[in-house]
Amino acid sequence: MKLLELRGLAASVDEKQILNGIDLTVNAGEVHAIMGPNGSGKSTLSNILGGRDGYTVTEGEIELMGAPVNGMSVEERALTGLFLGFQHPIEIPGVTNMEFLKVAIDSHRISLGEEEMNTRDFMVQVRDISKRLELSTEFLKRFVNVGFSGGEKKRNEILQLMLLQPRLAFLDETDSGLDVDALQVVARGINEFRSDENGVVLVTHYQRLLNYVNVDFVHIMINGTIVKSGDAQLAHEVETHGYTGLGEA
Amino acid sequence: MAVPQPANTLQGDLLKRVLAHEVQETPWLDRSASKSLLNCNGFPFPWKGRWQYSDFRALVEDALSLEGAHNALQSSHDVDVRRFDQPETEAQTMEFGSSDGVGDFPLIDINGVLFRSGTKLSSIAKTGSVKVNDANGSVDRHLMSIEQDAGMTVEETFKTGNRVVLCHVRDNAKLEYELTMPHGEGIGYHCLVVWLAKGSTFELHLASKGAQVRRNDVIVNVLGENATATLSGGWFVDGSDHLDSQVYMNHRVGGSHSEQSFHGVVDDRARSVFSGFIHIDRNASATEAHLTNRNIALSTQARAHAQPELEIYTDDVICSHGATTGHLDDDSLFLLRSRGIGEESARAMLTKGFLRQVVHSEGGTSLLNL
Ligand SMILES: Nc1ncnc2c1ncn2[C@@H]1O[C@H](COP(=O)(O)OP(=O)(O)OP(=O)(O)O)[C@@H](O)[C@H]1O
Ligand SMILES: [Mg+2]
Repeated sequence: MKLLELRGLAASVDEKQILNGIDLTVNAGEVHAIMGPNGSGKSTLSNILGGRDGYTVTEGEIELMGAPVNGMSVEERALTGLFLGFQHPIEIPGVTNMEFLKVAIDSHRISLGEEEMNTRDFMVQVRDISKRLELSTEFLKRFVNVGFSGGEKKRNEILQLMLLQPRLAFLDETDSGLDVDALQVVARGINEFRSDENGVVLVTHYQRLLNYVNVDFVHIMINGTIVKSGDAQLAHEVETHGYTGLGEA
Repeated sequence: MAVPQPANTLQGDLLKRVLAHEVQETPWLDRSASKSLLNCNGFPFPWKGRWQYSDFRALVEDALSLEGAHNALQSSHDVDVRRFDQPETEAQTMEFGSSDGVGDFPLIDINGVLFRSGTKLSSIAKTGSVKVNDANGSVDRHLMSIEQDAGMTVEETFKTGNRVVLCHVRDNAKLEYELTMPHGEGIGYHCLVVWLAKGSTFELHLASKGAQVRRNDVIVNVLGENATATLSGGWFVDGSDHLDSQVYMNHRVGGSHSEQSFHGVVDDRARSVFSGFIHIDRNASATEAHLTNRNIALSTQARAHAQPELEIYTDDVICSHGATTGHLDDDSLFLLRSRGIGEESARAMLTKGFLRQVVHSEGGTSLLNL
């Protein structure tokens, strides 16, 4: 099943053209990596998929779970199964991580016609995921990302991923700023999440993540377009030779 | 909210009537101090200076036609209480009408001339506590004294009426004040004046909804070294309500510390005003004073007006002062929505979060539904 399909996707941010024709298909069971120099448009793609205000599709199409996203709100896209892992997770003072997670999971359940999650089951599940991510349960009581270290913020993203169990996860540099141990923890989270039913897109600058997560495809994005696609070997080439020679002339 | 000019003469007339008014029930009280202060301060012209945002003529009219007393004190523990509306010998000699040194606050003087009930409280214990109920549209005045080394907790609720609370916090004493202001159908003026002596501590926890018109003044006079004032609060004003809050932090001596943080939310067609005034005297060196006021407007028709004012007459201070007015943060809203949370719930969560940063009291938390 096709979870994501981009056909000739071009997009602008605040009237500045950033994405210039992207074709990409992610099927269930696949893990893709997108690599590319700073400013090539990777985070812009994430925001476009999420349906963020100020980001406009100027050409081409986006289909999520086989249906065009035109007119879908940010939350509707999330409820059809899209999850965005943020490059820079933001802090929300005054809102505890716990209530944030509870409202998020309940929103998903309600949209499926199910009841809100019973608090005890919720606690058991969230504690279990935290433990697997080596994140102290103290973090659940704290305000969302407030005072979290860079690595803790990224683990908190994976916590949300594992709780919400989306169909398609687009993880923007979840591996950046992690020490070796944290990288392994995050990679373990991604590996536990992936299945034949879902798909993952990893945006990364480093081949090292791919030592822990097996990817099926690697795409190189330069100037808002995918200039080359291949298998995991392509990431090694980038690591040794950089992006020179890969861009369009 | 400018009022047409001819109102001027009306106010002259209103002023005369206030000055001529005698509260029948309390002939033993000497109101001459308040009358002479009012005479020299004049009536608060609604379109001028710090009074430009709210019109209190109707409040004064109502006060002139009041009858009988209203007892607002609900309970007290470890606190000595005297009521003003009973002709006790001690009450007759009590100097409770004087609000000398507070400055140009005519509504305090009007309160002094017209108040019909009130209490004098003093705490000598470490753990005094009192509960004060709404003034219910009446005019009352409370004098509190927290004696040397003592402590007192006040839980006050106020909606409408004209109330002045004067608090003396003596050497090394501590006053913790929870002021909760639910929605009021009428007009309200509330003024809390605090004098802080050496080594004393004052904590204010404010939570407020709006009223038809409500003005909330907090005046802190730091008179002793090593005194500390910590003021925090939040308000949510909606419908067509109006809330005008003004804080005056006067550092008269050095080596003292004040910290203020207020968050306000306005929705619908509501209007809020926050005026935060910090004054540091010439000889108040080594003073530290901070104030932040952040406001969020949830609707396009709601208005939040914030104005900081600083008067610093010495160099040796650490002072920060900031006031902002804006909308809910787009990044935060996007994060919540990207997790499947509907826009309306996401907005409500962020609004609560914004107020939770400054509202910690039990009364405030339940009033604002946090
Ligand atoms: N709001 C905006 N207005 C104008 N330009 C923008 C805006 N947001 C992003 N850009 C520009 O779009 C380009 C792509 O940015 P984007 O964040 O998508 O890059 P990226 O591939 O994620 O880079 P990095 O690897 O550094 O995270 C950059 O040149 C950036 O400056
Ligand atoms: Mg990026």
